[in-house]
Amino acid sequence: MAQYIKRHDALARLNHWVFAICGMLLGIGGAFMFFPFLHDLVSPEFLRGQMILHRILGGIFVAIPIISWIIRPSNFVHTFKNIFSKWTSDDLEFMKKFLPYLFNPKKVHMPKQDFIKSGQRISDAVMYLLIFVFMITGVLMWIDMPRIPEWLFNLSRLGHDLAFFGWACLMVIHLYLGAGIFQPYRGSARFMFGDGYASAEDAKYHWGHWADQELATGENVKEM
Amino acid sequence: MAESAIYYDASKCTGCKGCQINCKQWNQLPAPFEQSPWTGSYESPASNSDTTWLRITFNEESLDDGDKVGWCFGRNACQHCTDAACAKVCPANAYTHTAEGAVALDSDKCIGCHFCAGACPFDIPHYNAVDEKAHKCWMCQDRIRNGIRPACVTTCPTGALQFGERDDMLAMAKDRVAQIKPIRPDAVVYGENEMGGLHVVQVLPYGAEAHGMPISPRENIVNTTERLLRPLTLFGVLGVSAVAIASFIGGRHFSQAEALKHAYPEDYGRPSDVVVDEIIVEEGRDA
Repeated sequence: MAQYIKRHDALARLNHWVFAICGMLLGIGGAFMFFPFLHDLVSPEFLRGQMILHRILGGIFVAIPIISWIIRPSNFVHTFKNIFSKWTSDDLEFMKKFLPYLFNPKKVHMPKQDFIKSGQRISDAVMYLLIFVFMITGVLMWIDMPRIPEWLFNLSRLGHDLAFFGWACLMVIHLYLGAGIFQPYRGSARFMFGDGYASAEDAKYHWGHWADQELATGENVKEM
Repeated sequence: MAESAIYYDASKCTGCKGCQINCKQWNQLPAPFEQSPWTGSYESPASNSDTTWLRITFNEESLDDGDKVGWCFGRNACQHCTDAACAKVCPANAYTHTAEGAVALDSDKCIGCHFCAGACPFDIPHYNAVDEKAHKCWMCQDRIRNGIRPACVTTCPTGALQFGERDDMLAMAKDRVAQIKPIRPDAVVYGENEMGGLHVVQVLPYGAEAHGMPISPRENIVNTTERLLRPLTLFGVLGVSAVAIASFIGGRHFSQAEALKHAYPEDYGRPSDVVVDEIIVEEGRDA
């Protein structure tokens, strides 16, 4: 029997599932609008359909965190507390070691972390910022000219494009680490796409401070 | 086939709006009655739209230190640019450069994204909320392919509008400007080099601005930035992927059990690399 610690509840995992599917479809659909070399591969009907779908999915994409925060306001506090909480010496050390660790995890050893790693805190902050930019610029483009001035429409298009650039790059990193392609992160997909439990070893390795605390209280720990 | 162009000589235009009406008639564009407040201008309607592809503008210019008023008519319609921003930005390839030099919009392909409307420096493509598509002048392709001049040109009573090969239209415009220059020193030929060369060549006796045309039309910064961002996004994704591949190679044979020894030596034992270091040190002492 091994010890497992509950990391994400069903609501968080459901959010992540919907978020991941919407995000993927939005990214693929958006790419067909953004890259001219993809224009010739599809019909205008496809693009028209994707424009409608893009708006629906975009609505769901933005609504997910908001609904989750309404259902469980503590999630809102938790999310932003993690992003804005004070940086400790462990956080600074983590960020300093992150790049060397990425290329040589056998030799570079990371400091203990809280529930959210320092790098993930930055990534989360950027992600929420990008979602905000996507939402504002997307809604403005949807409202459209002549109800909004031409410069605002163009600015929104530019903002949407820039956010897409950031999002595309961020998602490659997120997929590489989150899906557990990176060896030290192997099995990470289970935390969000599986049952939400992390083995005590995984928890200790990734989030030492959090694991120590959870194992001490035993509140979210179960034997499997 | 040599490229064609519409010639417009504002010095001969009387603002009769015959061209405007014939454009609507030939292209079967509705002209609903719109009551708008008096603005002091005979311009009507106040702006181009999805159903008004051509509009004669009425600009007033102060002459002789304000003693006289000059009426500067302008022809506000698609300029059929060689370097057309609308065609570049369209994600559905709905715009095509025809052999005759026109920039034609295939409404069947239009997805109603509005990108062209935001990109055009002449504010030309307009969106129709009913069919959810953009619309604009197409240089009467159906007529010119059958040897008939565009509808606007055929109706002009003063010869201000002409149609023919672009080179001929340019030569005619230059001659005309040279002719009126003594009395209209600000006269210019408009359309020779703007946006890579327009397929509407204009003689503007009071200068471009006075006739409602932008002096140096150019693509807006959003379009140019977007063209930069496209390869940048691809390179960004490829770059990050390359980092991920390098990281994957560097992370092979990683052992979590071994790594845990560093953080929890009491629970998992001393890390082997530290032990090895100590053995090496001790062996050195023995030697």
